[in-house]
Amino acid sequence: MIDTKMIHQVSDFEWEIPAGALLEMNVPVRMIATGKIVQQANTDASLRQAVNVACLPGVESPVVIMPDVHQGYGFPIGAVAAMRLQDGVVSPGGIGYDINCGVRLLSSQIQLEEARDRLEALAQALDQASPSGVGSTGRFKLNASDFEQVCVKGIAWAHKRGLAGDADMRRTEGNGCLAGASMGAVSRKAIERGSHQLGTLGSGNHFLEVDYVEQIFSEAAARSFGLYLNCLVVQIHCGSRGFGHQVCTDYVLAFQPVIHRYGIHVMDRELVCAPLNSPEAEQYLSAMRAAANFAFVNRQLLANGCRDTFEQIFAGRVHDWHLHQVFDVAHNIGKMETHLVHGKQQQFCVHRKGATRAFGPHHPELPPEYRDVGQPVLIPGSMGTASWVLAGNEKSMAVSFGSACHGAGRVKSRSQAKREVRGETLIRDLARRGIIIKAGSLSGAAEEDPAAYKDVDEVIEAVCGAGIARKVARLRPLIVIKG
Amino acid sequence: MGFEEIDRSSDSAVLVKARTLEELFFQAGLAMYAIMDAQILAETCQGELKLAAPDVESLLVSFLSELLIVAELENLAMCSSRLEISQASLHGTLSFAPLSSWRENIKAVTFSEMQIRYSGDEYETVIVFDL
Repeated sequence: MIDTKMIHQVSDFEWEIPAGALLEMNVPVRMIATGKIVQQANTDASLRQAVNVACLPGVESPVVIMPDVHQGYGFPIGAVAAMRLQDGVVSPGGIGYDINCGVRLLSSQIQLEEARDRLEALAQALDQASPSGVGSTGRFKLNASDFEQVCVKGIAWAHKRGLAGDADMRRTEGNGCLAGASMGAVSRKAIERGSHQLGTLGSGNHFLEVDYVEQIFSEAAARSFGLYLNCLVVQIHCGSRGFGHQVCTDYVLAFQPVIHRYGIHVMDRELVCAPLNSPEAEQYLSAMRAAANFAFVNRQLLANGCRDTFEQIFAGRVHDWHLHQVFDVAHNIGKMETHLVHGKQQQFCVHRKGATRAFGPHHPELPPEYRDVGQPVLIPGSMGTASWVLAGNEKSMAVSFGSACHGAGRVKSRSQAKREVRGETLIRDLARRGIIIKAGSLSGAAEEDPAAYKDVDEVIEAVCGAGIARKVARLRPLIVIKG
Repeated sequence: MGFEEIDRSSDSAVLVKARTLEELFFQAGLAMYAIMDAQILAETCQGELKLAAPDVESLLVSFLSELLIVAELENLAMCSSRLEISQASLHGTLSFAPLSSWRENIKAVTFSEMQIRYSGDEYETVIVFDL
């Protein structure tokens, strides 16, 4: 916990822990939040972890934490840190074990009312089409050459195979590929863990969800994103599976002695890092990019499964059953990006740990159709509550290195959630509210009890109140598939 | 001696205590299987393990990470161990048993809050797992 006297309110939705709060801090910590969320965040180690990040060498001002912040390991979840290339570092733990965990949103023109009597059949078919749960394996058995191409080329590999369309690629962050991936930097163990997991959802808080568009806040942006009132949409939340977990594990271990070699002091061993201009950093970044590309393809293949399922359930019953990609965003990633700082365009390695890129209008990295609107920012809520689609604002470039929040943010432990609610009860209660849950385990469902999370609407109020993104649409869940 | 789960808003953490370093590593493995909610069958095979690390915490992370990989790729869990640990290196024989099921996927073993301390007559450490 941080002494509350050290936390200063800057504006209605911005708070700061100044760089002088701790001798070792190089930059302040800026928090996007309501007063209630600040108090909540200071009941565990979230703010202290953010302060630790602010002590890393070469970190640019400020370290930003989002209203969905909660305690993690090393970095808090919901943090953004931009590291200068010349004197900054890259921290594998600061990007996270689930490299390129992210969200893909697909939209349709299927009205809820014309789909209502097919929802149970849709839930069952999606559950069958989406391998999930612990130890799940995908339908795609890749040889070594294909596996390498997935990791090096990302969505372009799927596009070449006819497994991804032009819009899928264009509407994925970075066109679905981080350049500079190399399998030479990836361990045999990582490849073994990943080789059978492409096209799988995994477990934990990962999910596939069918929602409908409950409310539209910006007609122009919603139209641009292909979102229509009362129509079905699909969210896919997952990452790089065992492949990414092992890449991060390998480098967190390998970097333990590296900090001593470069004379770097870290406040938490999970923050181990290497100077960005070092060969160790280059090697990690090559491996991290391979895992990120794997994750983009993973979500692509799951999206294809959804498209097939929608065709199976709705073809001939509705006029247009197709699912169109709105966007695919990463929320655990390290990206080389250019930002305007101190009046100069400079390159940074932006660490987003539980934070979503939220570029504003006119950014050259956005697909042409979104340039006037800004990037779609996809914010899934907790199971059974609303999710949000926002659009990035130009202010995000000045305030948060082009970033916003990534979800609701946990407030209760998994154990506490399981003590307080039984999986069967929760699933029954959600069913009464018209939400179908297909969960691999009842205890897993209980862990994701909505009461274990912050109120996503309050999180969104803080993000939009701070001006880094604006509301486009709110989604209401109908079907949740969980591992 | 043994382990207990610590409440955390995210991920999962345990406090592990043991009289010897070898027992601490074994108990840490059992704690990990408990978090995984793993159902373990009777012993079927043995394997040798050799690990070296810059320090004992790195050794524990490496050890548990190896057990995670064996669970994920070979569907096996450690059920007993004869380990020798000295100078941040470990070697020994592990007995394994098939996992009939497990419900919680652990992504990784982290260094967060890990510090192996010896006080009086016991070793203890916190281990945070990324779920």
